[in-house]
Amino acid sequence: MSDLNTLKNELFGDSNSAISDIKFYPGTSRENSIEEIAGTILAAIYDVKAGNGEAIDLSF
Amino acid sequence: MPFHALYRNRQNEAPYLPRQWYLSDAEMLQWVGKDGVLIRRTDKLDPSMVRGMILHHPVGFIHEMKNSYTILVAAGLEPEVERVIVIKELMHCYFGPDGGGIFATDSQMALESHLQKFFGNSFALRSHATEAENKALWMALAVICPENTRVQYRAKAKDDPNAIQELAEELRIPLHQAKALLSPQFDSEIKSILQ
Repeated sequence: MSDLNTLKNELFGDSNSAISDIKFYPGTSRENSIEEIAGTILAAIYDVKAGNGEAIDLSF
Repeated sequence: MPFHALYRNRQNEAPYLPRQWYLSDAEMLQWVGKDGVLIRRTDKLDPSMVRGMILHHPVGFIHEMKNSYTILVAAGLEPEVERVIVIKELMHCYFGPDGGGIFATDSQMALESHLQKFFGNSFALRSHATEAENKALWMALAVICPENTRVQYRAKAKDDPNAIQELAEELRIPLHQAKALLSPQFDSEIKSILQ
């Protein structure tokens, strides 16, 4: 399955856990394919769902 | 849109405010709530492709967490860039519990369309979702800087070439976004948003 299809399934595949919105801040390059972009979005979501990711100091 | 109240409240505060102030305001929205937003930095997000994102989801989407919004930002960004991204993504909370209805990316088809139009970088391919992205950025700039500060710096910039740099430093934002704050486009964008 392509990363785009996997991402769509991850976010909307189960009606009980489907998200209701997603928005983005673009990257520094415009040279990437939608498939590559879906891949990094998916990897980031999996990372945070796995309990990884760093809390941010919001005092700045 | 509850953004009006945020914009109004912002005018009474100091020129620079940390991101916690914006998070605390967003968490006062009924549909967000205390601890309603989880914010994480991850090195799995490639900043050349995507520097940040916000998801609105059922509680439990992130295991054992009570949040219904998750903001992810790419690791390794300049602090000023990351600051603007987090505030911009928080602005999407102000579109309402349904993400602003037509503005929401709320289905498989909507997501694919959004990715193609937003990352395809074609002006001819605008949609409600890409409109929401642009609107949220202007909303963020409008609450990053109180209007009286903006007006002062715009007047100063007419005679002082260092004024934009000073504004960027005072607000702790990238230079190009300080330029955008002082641009004629800002006036028309924020007027449209506040109507």
